[in-house]
Amino acid sequence: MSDVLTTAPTTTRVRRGEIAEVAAAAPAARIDIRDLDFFYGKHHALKNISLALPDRQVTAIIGPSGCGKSTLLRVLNRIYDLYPGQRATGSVVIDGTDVLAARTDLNALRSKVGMVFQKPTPFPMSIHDNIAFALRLNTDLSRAEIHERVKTALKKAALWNEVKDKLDASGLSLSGGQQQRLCIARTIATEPDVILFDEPASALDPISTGHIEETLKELREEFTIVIVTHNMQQAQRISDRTAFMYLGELVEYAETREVFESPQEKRTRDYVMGRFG
Amino acid sequence: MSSKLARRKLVNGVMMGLTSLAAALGLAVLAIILVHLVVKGLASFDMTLFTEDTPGPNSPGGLRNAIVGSLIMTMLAMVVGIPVGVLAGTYLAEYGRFSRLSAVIRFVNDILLSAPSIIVGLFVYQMLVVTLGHFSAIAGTAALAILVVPIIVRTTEDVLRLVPDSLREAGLAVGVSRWLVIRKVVYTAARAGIVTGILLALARISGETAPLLFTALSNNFFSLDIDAPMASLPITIFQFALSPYENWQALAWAGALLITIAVLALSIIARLLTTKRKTS
Amino acid sequence: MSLAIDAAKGRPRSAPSPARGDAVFRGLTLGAAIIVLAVLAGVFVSLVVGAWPALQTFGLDFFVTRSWNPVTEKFGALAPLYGTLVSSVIAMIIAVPVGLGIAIFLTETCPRPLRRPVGIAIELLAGIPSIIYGIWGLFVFAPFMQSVVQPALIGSLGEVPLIGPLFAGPPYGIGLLTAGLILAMMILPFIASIAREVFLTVPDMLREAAYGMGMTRWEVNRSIVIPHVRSALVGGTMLALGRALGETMAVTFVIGNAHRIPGSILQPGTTISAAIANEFTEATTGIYTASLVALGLVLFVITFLVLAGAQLMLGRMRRRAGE
Repeated sequence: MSDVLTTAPTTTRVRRGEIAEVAAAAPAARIDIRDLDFFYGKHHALKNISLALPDRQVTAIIGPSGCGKSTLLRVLNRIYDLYPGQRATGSVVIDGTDVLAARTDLNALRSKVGMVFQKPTPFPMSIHDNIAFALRLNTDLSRAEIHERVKTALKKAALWNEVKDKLDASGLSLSGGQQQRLCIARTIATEPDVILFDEPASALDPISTGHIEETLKELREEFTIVIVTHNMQQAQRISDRTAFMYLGELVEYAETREVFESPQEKRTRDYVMGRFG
Repeated sequence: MSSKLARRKLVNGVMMGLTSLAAALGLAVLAIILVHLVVKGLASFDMTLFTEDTPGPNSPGGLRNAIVGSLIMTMLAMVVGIPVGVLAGTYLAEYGRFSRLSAVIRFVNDILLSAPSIIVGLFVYQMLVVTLGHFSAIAGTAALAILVVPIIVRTTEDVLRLVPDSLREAGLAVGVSRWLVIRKVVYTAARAGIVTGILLALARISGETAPLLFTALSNNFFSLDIDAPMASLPITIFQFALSPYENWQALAWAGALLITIAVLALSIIARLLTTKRKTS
Repeated sequence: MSLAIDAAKGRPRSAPSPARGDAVFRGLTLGAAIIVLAVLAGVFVSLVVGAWPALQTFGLDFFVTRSWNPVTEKFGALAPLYGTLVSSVIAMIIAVPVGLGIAIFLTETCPRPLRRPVGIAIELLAGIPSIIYGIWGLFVFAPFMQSVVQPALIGSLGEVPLIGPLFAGPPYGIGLLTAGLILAMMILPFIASIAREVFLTVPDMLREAAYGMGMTRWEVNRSIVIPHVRSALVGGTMLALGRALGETMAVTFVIGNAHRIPGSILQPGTTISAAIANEFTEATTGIYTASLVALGLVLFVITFLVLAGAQLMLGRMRRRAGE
């Protein structure tokens, strides 16, 4: 599986309405979305989306505000379920589990599909417990094992050196950028298969953003990552593949370089060249 | 792992079930109290309640003197309390919004809002009953007014602060003086909210008993003299309920039903006003 | 533009000198605000003055003396103080968890169309005057306690070592426990509506983040929502405690009004407010009245401290929400 990246397809392209054939072409598709429609009450927010996201790659979803990119992300862990009047039809399969099925265990699903939000969301507890909390809920690890996992997660999130002397301090005492890395550490500690990032750097300064992007690049080795961003430079810097969405439709989905250098669709071209949005 | 998840789900089910049970309990208490009030209150509910005064033991009568006494003292307390409350709330929200004095007054007002009402009764007893030498409706009114003020101060300040500053600035910018802006612009915008606060205050004092015990005392006869003891519904309920006479106890239930209807009606009207404000 | 013209036209008519009108109005509002301060100060001073003869006569013994004897004129605050604290503690033990449960129900479990009506019903419960709870407690609840609840408690918990004496008979119906339960019903809606309001200030994103980790509803509420608003919840709870401590009428009906410190919570006792309500107009001698006022002073100081603490805790939340 270590050569997944090198064997990634270079030419697969998907247009709206077609079913992505990425899975057949190369690395096992971790997330397979077919004919997905999404509604906020009567508002049709996602229209017939089909795409397959490859394992251990970073897939960026870009598009102007209101195009449905965050909505798509919120379908993947069914977080939209918290609100009335929001529903999805079609199919989303992650590792053989039908995410949209009514009987799907949401607690198990969400511990396999982690999510990092636009703004940092540290829990009202210590830095250590922010990470250890979910571990205690989900596993039977000993105290020492949990501490090891906390340490590893903080290192992977490039936060360890800054917080190793104050693990008992409140998570809220950290700076914004540190809080966001704490949230990333918290997510990776539970060892999910997929991590969803919803504009994780939009509330941060450029330096913190740089830290987060470095972290993301390293996480690619272990996790399937989907990131929503309105920042096209960021998408170019960190993603392997890019999906461009517009008004609830998937317009183009291909290798990042191709989407930005030789887009096939006019709307994609206009957007990446900065003509709208 | 999966057994752990099953346990977590079980705990979740039990605890969330308990929250439903808590709500059921709260609603059941409300329902049981209301049912008893209606059943026992209606049993002795007729027009003589409003036409006859409180009787002696084991003889027929009504609650006229108590009802009239309550109306007089409540209304007078509102007449005194509303201007003081609205003006003080205006100071906190307008002239003194950022002053340190306002911070202190806000703090004190919030304490008065929840302070035991019997303490207010003691205070008025010392101030008015001792100095005037006798119990009176004036003292009862004063005690109720002291309870009214903090409620109106709080709601007035809250709703005035909801009025956007741009409205004030627009008024001031065309050269209208501050007090006219407050009176013509801010009060108009906040009217429904201020009325809500007034109704809530009225609801609160309609059932207050403790502050009247040793201020207005009570009176077995019909009296309109505010310099003399005056009957009131809550005190009459208190005395009659604790008496051994069945006709008095029955009148106490009828009075309790009257007060509850009044208080619930006031609260519901106040709530409707608030909703209308929010939607418009 | 038209506003300017109107204002210019209106000025001479409604206020000859706008600056003076403003100064007068400002003075009026300030004066009204000062009245609020004066009332609190007045309450304190008048209580101290009224209580002075008793405090002078009994000194600090007043606070540790059990006896309350109008004949020998020996007065001590211990029994009513004990009753006040015990009945309030019983009320809090019951009302805090149930109130939090209702708040969680209203923000999480309750079907959405029912949330508003149920919330309103709970708040109406808060508006019912205390005398209603009193008369209902005396005629309906106390007999129920006497015939059903207390015999059951005496038969079960009464036999348990250590806590048994707390539930010793006979079943009077009225007493500390009954008063505590009535108080619990009265403060329950306060706690529930404050907690609900506070829970609604929790940012959606924090909830989503918690659910996003795979937590169950209960875990999200217990470990994320409640800790996030902890100080405001403590403040709201103290506010309710302040009400319970000072509540008069509901308690006066059902506590039994006995100046003693009962070993069992099933037996009659008294509270500060009940003692004042019952005895104030009967107090014939100066020292008797002064002792009752001194009780009032004690109650005032206790509730002041509790309510002040509540304001500080709630203020912290308001400041955070304002940021």
